[in-house]
This record gives sequence, structure tokens and C-alpha cells, in this order.
Amino acid sequence: MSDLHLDSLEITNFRCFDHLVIEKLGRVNLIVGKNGVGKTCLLEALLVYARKADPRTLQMLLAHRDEFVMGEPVNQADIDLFASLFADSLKNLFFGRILALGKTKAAIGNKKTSKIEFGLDAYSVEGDNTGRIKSLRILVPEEYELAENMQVRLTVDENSTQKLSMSLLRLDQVRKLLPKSGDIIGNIFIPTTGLENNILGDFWDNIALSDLEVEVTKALQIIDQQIEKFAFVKNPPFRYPVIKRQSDAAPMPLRSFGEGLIRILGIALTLANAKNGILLIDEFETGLHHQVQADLWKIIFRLANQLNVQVFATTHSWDCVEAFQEAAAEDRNEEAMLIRLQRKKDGSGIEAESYNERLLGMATRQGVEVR
Amino acid sequence: MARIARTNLSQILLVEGKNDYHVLLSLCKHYDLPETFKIIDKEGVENVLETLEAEIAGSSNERIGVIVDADTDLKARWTEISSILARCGYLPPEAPDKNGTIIPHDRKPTIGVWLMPDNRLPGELEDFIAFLVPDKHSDSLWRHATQSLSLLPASPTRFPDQDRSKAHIHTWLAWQREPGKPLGQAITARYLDANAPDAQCLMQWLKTLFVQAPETLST
Repeated sequence: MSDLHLDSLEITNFRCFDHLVIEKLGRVNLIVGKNGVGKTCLLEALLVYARKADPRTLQMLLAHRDEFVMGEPVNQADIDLFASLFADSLKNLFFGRILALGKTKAAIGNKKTSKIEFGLDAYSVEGDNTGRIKSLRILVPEEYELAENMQVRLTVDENSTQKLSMSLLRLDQVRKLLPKSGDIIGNIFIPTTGLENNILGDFWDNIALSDLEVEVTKALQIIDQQIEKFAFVKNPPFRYPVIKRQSDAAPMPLRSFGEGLIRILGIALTLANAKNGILLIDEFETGLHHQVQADLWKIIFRLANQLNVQVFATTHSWDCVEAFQEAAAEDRNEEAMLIRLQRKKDGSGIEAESYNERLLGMATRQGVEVR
Repeated sequence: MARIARTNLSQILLVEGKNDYHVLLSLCKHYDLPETFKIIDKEGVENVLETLEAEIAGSSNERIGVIVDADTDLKARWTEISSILARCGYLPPEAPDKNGTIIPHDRKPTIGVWLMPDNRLPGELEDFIAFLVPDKHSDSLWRHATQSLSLLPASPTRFPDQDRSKAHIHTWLAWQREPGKPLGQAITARYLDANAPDAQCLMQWLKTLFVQAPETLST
């Protein structure tokens, strides 16, 4: 078994987590817990880590929750407005929604090593006459009032070394901000609503006629044994998935067969494209019957191991936990981990409790409630 | 029996067999203990210990009690339980408390452990029940049962030696006014003395674990 991307997780000052430590992660992790304990926030933190706090990812997360709502800037005034709105809305990513310039940092990563840290800093910027930056220096708060050429920039540190500093005024240049599939291969977040057809279409292009296409077809057959093949067809500007069933003469749009198939296609196709990366699935069970979930987990355990993908999924449903337990019991690599987020007994924040396969097996045999 | 109907209680008592279950039920009824906890028969000590570990990580319980037999080696049984607790982050004492052990934790369920018969001697539920036989040493039927057991001929179908106390109590019960009552009913029928010191001690442990206010536990 190859090493996991993250064998533990420590999150500081991100979203609802003041400070959260998960001592041990598995290759396939199911996150459970009551509403409002931060299951989706945990996935967001993992995405920020995996994409090294890429500003486009930060913006996508804010936009996804309607915390940053603005279209493409078209002129300089727009760009200025964009930068100030973005700087302001960034605070939503920090604990307590407080972001103090130069002071507040969010950190996400492995407990011991490998952390991504980000925040806003004030810089003193010196440029040459062509506008190229000659020198950049982070100002301490005491210097703010006196500094000339001060500029607010996003700072991203990787393992305490500065990785990126980016002017918010230039964010529009790294945009086409909504990520294209090319950007997100390897580290993919599947929201409850699923991914768009165009992104899935690009994923299909990457695996068409390969062994992985066969694996995805097998996943679809969990629901419908009649499915022989699937493909994406184009009707510009749209692309959509179609399937060919034994009993049908012609291919049919996959979406006409209901929610379950499109969910399975989304998960399996994305997993097939996440090689050596991290796959995040919000509300795994959406649209899926219990027995289907168990069979899908089995495929996920196998492919995640084969492709060196680390999987994190959330769920509310007892069905989903049972299906996960069932698949984990059959998994030979001992790679499943169930993680429950819960409020601390003393009310001082959120903590995580983990079940490895051994403990999960014990809970299953003894009928112990793990959600 | 109303005690088992309530399923959403956040306090559970795990026992290893149906006899333990019925004895506890009868004693709780006799002592009029409020129904603040659910008694669960896990059918075997392995299941009790596995459930204990899973429930500690589980989401449902504030306090968990376990009652298991010490069997032939009390120290070994205690080591088995305390190593599970230590693995879960508890600080169990080196030896069990003679009045029943209670181990709090600042963010996990409070754990109570009772080793049958009395947290000191090796033995099992039936040894505890023997403590409840009224005026045992002058009881002619008890003494006769003792004598009969010592005179039993060897036989391939005879019970193994460690079950001697089991044979003793059931022999004695077979000779009561209504022969052959199971252990729990023998308490209700008052063949057995529910007010014996050892029964009081067990009930006090249960009260402290499940009935007292949480703040008194940590002290």
C-alpha cells in the first residue's frame, strides 16, 4: 500500500474549526455527525489543502455558499470592486468570520508535517518603471500607517515557507475563476448536487476506452445490469452522458434514468480521474439505495487503493454508515476509517472521534450507534 | 420489566448473560432504583468487552457500566478490562475498587466496572448469589447441599470443578418450597436476601454510577 496523502489532519482557524485534530486518517474516510458540526467544512479544508489555497479554489468555496457573489470584472472599476469584495468575503473562511490583516492565518495539513497556511497581509511593494515588481515585503501592523505603496495580498505558506503572494487586484488575471476540469483533476470536490455535465464529459475523455472505463461501466451496472456501455455526446454547447442498454436499440440520455445513475457516474468517473489525488464527496448517499451504496463502496475501496486516491465522504444517513461498514468488513487492506465530528462535552468547540476497521467491525457486530 | 422498554436512555449496563440480567432486574426492583439506565444482556464476556470498547467511541452513552465474572483469575480479568480502558484514554486503577470501580473521563463516558462476585474473590454470579442465601451456615438445606456435592461420584457427565458454586446454588434452589426457581425469581420470592451486605454494596455502586448527579462522580 502506498503512503496516504494525509495520515492525520490538523485544522486551525478555518470555517467552524477553531482547532481540530484527527489523529489518524484512512484511505477511505466516511465523516458523520449531526447538522452543523462542520462535515462539509472539513471537506472544504481538505480541498484548500490539496489545492494549496489556490485563490480560485477559495473563490469557488465562497461562491458555492453565496458568500461571494460577483460576475467577471470588465473594467478597472470592476476590478477594484472585485478585489475589495473578495478581501472582505474571505473572512468567511476563517473561524468566527474574523480576518485581521497580517494577523489571522488559517492552517490545514498533516499533524506533524506538511501544512498549508493562508491569510491576508499588507505588503510594501516597489516596482520598476515597467510595472514589474522589484521587491515585496510583508509589513508588520505598526508600519501600516506610515507605509507607502502598501498593497493587500493573499499570502500562502507551505510548511512555513512562502509559496505564493498575490495581489487581490490581480485575481481577475488568474480567473476564468470557476475551475475547469483541467485544473481540478487529482483533487476533486463533488458537491451534493453533483458535477456539471461538461466537467464529467472531460473526465470521460480522459479514460475513454481504457480499463477505467470498464470500471465505471461496472459501477453503473450496480443499478442496472442492462447497461452495456456509456459515452458522452455533444450538442453544442452542451455535452451529456448517454447509455446503451441491452434491451434498447438506441442509446438513451443517462439522466432520463433517474438520480441514482447520475450520482454513480459522477462518483465513479471522478474517482477514475483522481489518480494520486484526493477525492471529496459531500453527502455520499444522495439518490442511492442502501444495497447500491454497499456495492459502490466496494468499488471505491478497490479503485482508491489501485489509483492511490484518498477518499473523504460525508453522510447523514444510517444506511450509508451500514453500507460503509459492510464494504469495510470485506476490505482486505484495512483502509477504512469512520470519523465522527461532535461538539465537545464542555461546549468548547468541535472534536473528532475515529473508528478504524477493527473498531468499526466491533460496533457493527454489537449494534453500537456510531453516527 | 419496564426498564427494557426505554431505548433512548443514554446510560447502559452491560451484563454477560440472562441470569445476570434477571438478577439485576430483581435487585433494582427491590431497591426501587429509578429507571435511568438500560440493562443489556450481551450473551458472553467477549461481547461485553467488545461492546464496551465500541460504545466508548460511540455517540450514545454518557455512562456505561459492565458486570462480568472474575472467573478463576480476578487479576487477569481486571488486566483485560483496564487495558481496554487505558487504550481508550482512561486511567484505570491498578486493582478494582472493592465497592465497585468508577472511572470518569473529561470528554468520554464515565465507566463503571463490577467483577462478580465482589471485586476481590475469583468466581462468578453464582458466588455472589450464595452471599444472598439467608443464614447460610445454619441453613440445613444449604449444608445438606454442601455435603451432597462433596459426596458426588465421579462421572464423565459431571460439571467441571469451576462450576461447583453454580451446582451448589441450583441444588439448593431445587429444594426450596417451590423447587427450581431461576435466580432472579428466587430474589423476588425472597428465598434469597436482597438486603444482604454484598447486594447493598452492588446496588450502591449502581446508584453512584447511574443515579447520582454527574458532578459527584468526578470527585
